Parts: sequence; structure tokens; C-alpha cells
Amino acid sequence: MLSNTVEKLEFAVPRTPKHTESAQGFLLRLAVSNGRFELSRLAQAIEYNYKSSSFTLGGADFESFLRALSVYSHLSADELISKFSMSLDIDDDRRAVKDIRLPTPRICPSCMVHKDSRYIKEPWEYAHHTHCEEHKVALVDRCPYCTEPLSWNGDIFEGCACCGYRWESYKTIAEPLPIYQTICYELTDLELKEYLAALYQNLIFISRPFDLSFDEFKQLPKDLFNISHLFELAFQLTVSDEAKANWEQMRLSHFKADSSLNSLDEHSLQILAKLPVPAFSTGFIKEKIQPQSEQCMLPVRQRVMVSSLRARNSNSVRDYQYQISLTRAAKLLGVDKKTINALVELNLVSAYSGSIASRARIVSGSSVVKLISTIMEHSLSICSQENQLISIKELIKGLPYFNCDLSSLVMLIVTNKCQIYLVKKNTFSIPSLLVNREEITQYLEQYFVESIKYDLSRNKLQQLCTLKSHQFIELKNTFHLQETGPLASLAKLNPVQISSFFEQNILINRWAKIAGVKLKSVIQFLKCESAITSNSILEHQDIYIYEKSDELLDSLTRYLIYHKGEVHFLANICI
Amino acid sequence: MNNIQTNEIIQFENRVCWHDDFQDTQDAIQKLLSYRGRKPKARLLKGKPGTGKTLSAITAMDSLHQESSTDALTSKPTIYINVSLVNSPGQLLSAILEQLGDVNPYKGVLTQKVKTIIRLFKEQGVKLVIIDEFQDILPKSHIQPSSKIYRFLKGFMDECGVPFLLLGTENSERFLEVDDQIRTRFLPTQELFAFSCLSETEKLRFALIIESILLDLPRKTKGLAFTEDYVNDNGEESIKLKPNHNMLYRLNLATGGLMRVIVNLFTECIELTNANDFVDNDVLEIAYDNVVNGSHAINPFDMSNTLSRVKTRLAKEGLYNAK
Repeated sequence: MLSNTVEKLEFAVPRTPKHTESAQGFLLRLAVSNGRFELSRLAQAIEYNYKSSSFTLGGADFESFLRALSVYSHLSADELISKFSMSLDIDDDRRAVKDIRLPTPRICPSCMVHKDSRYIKEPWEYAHHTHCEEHKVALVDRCPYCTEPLSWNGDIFEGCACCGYRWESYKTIAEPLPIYQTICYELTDLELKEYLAALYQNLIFISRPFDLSFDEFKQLPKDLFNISHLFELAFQLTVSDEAKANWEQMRLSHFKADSSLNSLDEHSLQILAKLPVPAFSTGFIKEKIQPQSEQCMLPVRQRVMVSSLRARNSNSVRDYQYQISLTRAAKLLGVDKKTINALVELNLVSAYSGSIASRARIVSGSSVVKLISTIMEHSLSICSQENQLISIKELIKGLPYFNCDLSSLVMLIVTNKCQIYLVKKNTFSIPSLLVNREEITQYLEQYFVESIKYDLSRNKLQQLCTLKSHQFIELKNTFHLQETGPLASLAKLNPVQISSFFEQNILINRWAKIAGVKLKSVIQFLKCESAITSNSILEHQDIYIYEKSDELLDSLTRYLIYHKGEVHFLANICI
Repeated sequence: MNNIQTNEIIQFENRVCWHDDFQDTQDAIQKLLSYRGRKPKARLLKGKPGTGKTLSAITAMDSLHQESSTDALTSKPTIYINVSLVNSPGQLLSAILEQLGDVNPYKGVLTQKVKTIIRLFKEQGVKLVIIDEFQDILPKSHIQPSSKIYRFLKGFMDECGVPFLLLGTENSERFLEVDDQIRTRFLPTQELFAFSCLSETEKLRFALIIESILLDLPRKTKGLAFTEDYVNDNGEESIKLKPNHNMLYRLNLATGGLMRVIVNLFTECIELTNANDFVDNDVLEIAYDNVVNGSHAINPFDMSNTLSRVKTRLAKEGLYNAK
């Protein structure tokens, strides 16, 4: 008489999602009604093996969780799933913050007081939706009494789970809805996408006012404070170029006062202070808003607005603001990323994340600045010996023919403690530094000879000699160069033979490249020189090999003087 | 037994027979219900097995709103738990959760279950929790303030905010005697007694309850009318026992004055007879043999047993005053 015969086991207190109810909010409401105060307990009640993505709309496991839940619900799985949709695109790859939903919940205290409106609305999850549109009240994301952030706990519908504060005691103040929120309704879908991309990009700039580099986020971090103020500032940056210029000016003044950075020249500081130019056009917004009076833009630094990668690799919070990407560091020094890695190897620049191969390597901006100031301190300014110096920029062109690159060159300079000379200029860059020609050529030659002995594949040699494959094969066959190795492309030439070949002959093809002159003009010049004999076996293949002789060297030197007005030292190395 | 009889039996068993003791019990339950929302109280309803405790509880449940469940509102005003099969606080909570329709009543630790129950009580508007066979959950040995079940029940009743009605035998009373803390949480105990032939008034009460049951019996009866109307000295109409009410003693002995046995006996009579048959002494005699597990060696409806013998037996049972 008293036992219930249950045909289908359902939740004792069934619930149906309300219009615009957030998916996670609905699950929590269902859980609470049935005496489970956490979402995990709801999953346990239906014996579902939940994951972190089970409860958020769009999560990988969300749909399968709803399907499992529908077994215990009066709604079918498809009905239940169809009740939830996202009003905004949370999957925009162009946006600096991909998922713009906050990880922690927010509520409107006025909505929570009445039984009928006691549910969490979907738009509240979006970070820029900071006000309840019905009550014109700022949404609450932390307890006004104990300031603990709200969490997805069943108590949220009544009050704070930590201190027992109840929403009934909250005194709400109606205020006009912020423009960054209301403008969303005036935009078309496409415009909204652009607007949100720009707004969230600026949010990142605003949150870390004095950082040298900025991160991209999959999701906004927890524990952001004063979100509406942040969005106000971000909105100003979005719509006003003047505000942006002021912000950059403020950054510049800050950097100038920062002892870790102020050794940089004005131009570099300006580059650092400049905010990255967004790839979004937001001109359409300016037309839609009333011109506003200028507001005070007080920077509020958000400790948490740092990617986990950076946080993981930093010793202190202070480090964050000086961290820069490899690319940025490379730009500061005017070199490539590989060179920065070489500098890290030499302990001249400090890096945070481990491996060289990591594309996301972060280096310390302050260590780069320190390096620059050290170089400036120890370098001499050019005066009388200008013609004996060569800039690194010029050297770079010839480097491939020495089997060398910029990073190796920097290593050569550092390890051999070459004296560096400096031109007084506005901007600092490594390529603009000068070194003594004779000194550096000596080291480069040593380097070339060393590398030829140990590590010179056929392909590499082919490149060094600036020969095409068929030319190289002809050369090899003609001079009977021996090859060892498993594959033709990976084969190595006998180093002894190669060394003796380069000792006896000059390959004009390579010489012309290093000297930066045209091959044909050199050959024409040499043909006119009667004293010189060429090894004409391979001339039909455009390979010009001359036996080393004093006459040849004289002629080449003369050629350089005629055509370039000076003797090119790099070219002389091969001679 | 044919279908008609089955229906007749079901109808008969569902009729609630009414008498004054039951009304007192109902009033006591109503008083208990008025404590909902205030500091909740509990009440023990005790009595011998079969005196109608469960019947009273079910009547009270019926008087509260019927269960219903819609999306907006789920209502389950009473929870009825028979604790005969329960032997720990955890199992009691699981039984309550099951009654509430929880999806997974057996999972979780004690505190989680309590939390879930409190929420479901609130959501479903539970007004009364009835725990039947209360004596079965009490330990056989002496109950102390440190006893697990004592501490649990005291805490649970406080937490729930819903009145508790405990149904049990005499043995249940010792729960209230543990200490003042528990005694002050309980309203005075209500007791249900068996019907007897101890005095004229008692006999009249018994006669009236039998007659009210017979009103619902879908059979004609013979020799089972015990009362008659008369005008008393003040000129008011009243009821008195007929001079010949021998069958009342026999019925009292046969049923022990217990409601449950009375109902069982007449149910069997329905089964033994057809619609036009009479229920008389002979039918009752067979019915007694069939269903009553009497402790007497004699069948009270066997006419070879004289009335004086029946009365002697009744006196031994404490249901008749020989003097």
C-alpha cells in the first residue's frame, strides 16, 4: 500500500531549463533541487564518470553527460540538448581570448531573491556581460562580505558558500548599463565578432599595463578583479586612438623610469611601449557611439592575467612584466631567433622555458637590455681606423660561404673576445656593430677549415661552392673526389682531398659570391689577363677553376680595386 | 476466490473504521503537524500490535495533500518508513531517500545523505515523517545517551525541521527515557488500546466499532447486532447494548480486541461466502480456524464452548472483569 512502484527512475525533483538559462547553471539547479550541492555529486548520483568538460556547454563531454542525465529526466536527450545554445561564438581563433566565458560563475543578487528568476543566465557567463539587463545591477562574482570568489556550488542560489552571507541582505544599486555591453546589440554578427576580438585584445593590454609582451589565452584566468573597470578601459582603447596613444605614452614614461629598461635608447623604448597593432577593424563602432568626455585611465595590474607557460617558468611575479618572446628579443637585438638561442647558450641572455627547440621560448627582456648596455659599455667608438672595420651586417652576406651563420659568428666574437666598435646611432642592433676585419676573417677562416673537416655533407659543399647538382657531379668526377656515406645526398667527401683541392685551386664561382661581384665580369677580366691560365676543362659547365698563383691573386686584387674601390678582405680569405 | 470477492475485499480493507480513540490520535497528529516550521517536535504513538497505529498514520497521511509532481512543484507531504528491515542510521536514510524518489538512494556517506534529505524535504514540501515499527531500530540492550542510534535520531530530527511520528510497541517508550534532551523534544505519548469487555462503556465501544465495520461488510449478517436505540431519562435519544450480546464476548476473545484481527476475520468471511449468503456464527467459526492464529486452544465460535468458559478465557486475557 505504501511502496512506490517506480517504472522509470527519475530525479525526485524534476527541472526543465528556463529560457536563456546557462547550461552549467541548470545542471547546478537540478543538482541542488535533488539535494546535491556540487555538479560532481550530480554526476555521481547518476553514476556517470565525469570529466571537467562534462558540465560546460561546448565541452567535449557535455553532450554525452546530458544524454546520461536524460535517462533520469522527464525530457528526452535531444530535447534536453536542444534547450541550450550559445548566444555568442566562443570559438573564434583570431581572438586573443578564445573562450570568453569566465571560469567562475556570476549572479545578479536581485534575480536571486525571487524564486521565479533564481537561475543563472547564459549571457552572464561572458566576461564582458558585467550587468544584469533586467535589474540594471552589476553582476556579483565574489561575496561582498568575505570577498571570496563565487564557485559552482549549490549555495550560489542563496548566498555565499564560505561565510553564509545571503543575497537578501545585498543592497543593489541600479546604474546605467555600460556601453561596452549594450553596443553588442547594435552590431551585426560580423561586426560583433570584430568588436569582441578587439575588445578582448585590449583587455589583455589593459590587464598588464607595463608588460613587454602579451599572451593569448584559451580561457580567461580565475580571480580577475574589477572586471567592469577593465572593460571600460579596454573599450576606450578600442574606440579611441587618442586613448591608445595616451596609454602608450604612459607605458613609455614608466619604462623610462624603470632601472631595468632605461639603458635602452629612446627608439627601442618606444617600440617596447607600443601596443601591438590589432588585426581588427573597429571603425564601425566609432560611428555608433556618442563622443565621450575623456576619462581617467587608471592602470590596474592583474596578477593572474599571465599565461600558465609564463607563470610556470618564472621565479617571481616581478619577472612577468619583463618577459618577452624570442621574436621580440630577436627584434630588439636586430638578429634572428637562432642567434638569441646562441646567446642563451652563452649565458648572455636568460631564458625561462627549457629547450632550444621550443617555439614558445620566453626570454628575459631585462637580460637582453642588460646585454645591450654591457655591449655599449665595452665597445669603442669608431674613429681613425674606420677602414679596417667591417660591420656585422656586411659580414652576414658572406657567412654562408664559410659554412657559418649569425649565431656562430656571435659565438666566435664572444668566445674570442673580439673588440667591438660602435657607431653612434639612435637604435642599437647587433648587425650595426663593427669588428676588425683582419681579426674576424682570421677566426672565420679557422671556423671554415674546422667545419670542412668534420661536418661537410655533399649538399652543403655544393652550396658553399655555389654550384648546381650537375655542375658539382662534373667537378667531382673530373677531380676524382671520393665520397663515403649511405646516401648520395648525405655522402661526405674525403676531407683531405677537399682541403688540398681548395689549397691548389681557386673556384671563381665561390670567390665572386663572397666578394659580391658578378661572376661573368670577373671571368671577362681574367680572360684579358694574359699571364693567367685557366683550367678550362669545366668551363662549358660554367665552372671556373683557376690554379692558385701570385699572378691570379694580383689580378683579382686589381679587379676588386677597379670595381669596388677597395680590397675586399672577405674575398681575400679564399685567395 | 473469484474476482468479485477480491474487489470486495480490497474495498472493505480500504474503508477506514472510525472510533473515538482514533479521533484522539488524529488530533494528536494534527497538533504535531502544527510544529512544522517551528522548532520541530516528535510524538510517539504506541500500542500493542494490531491496535490501529498504522491505520491512524495512514489516515493522517490521507488527510494531508495528495502527492503530486509537476515541473514547477513537487509535493510529497508525508514520508512513511517501516524500519523493520533497517538496522543502521545509513540504511534508515537510504530508505527515506528511496521514499523521496531519489535517483541513487544508496550511495554516499551519512552527512551527504542527510544534506540531500533536508533539501528534498524542502523541495517536496514534506510535512510529516512517520517511522513505523520504531521498536525494531532500537538496540535490544539498554539505550544510553552515547548510543549510536540515539545520537543519530536526535541530531537528524533537529536538522530536518520536520515533525516525526514514531509508531511502536510499549517497548519504544524507553527511547524517551534516555535523558531530558530527548524527552523535551517529544510531545506526550499517545497510546492505542485493544477493545475489551471490561465495563459496560467498553463493551458499547467495541459493539459500535464492530457495527461500523459491518456497515461496510458486503454481506448480510445474523446475530451480530449488539445495540439498540432508546430514550433516556432526560428524554434524549441514546444507544445501549441489547440484553443479549453474547456474540460480543466471543468476538472479543476471537480477535483479542485488535483492529487488525477484526478486519482479517471479516475479510475471511467475505471470502468464505457469496453475495447473498449470511455471515453468522458458523461462518465465523470457519473463518476463525482459517485465519486467526489464536493462542487459545478453543474456537470461541464453537457453541460447545459455553459463554462462561469464554468469559473465563477473556478474563485471563485481561479483557473481562469477572467480578
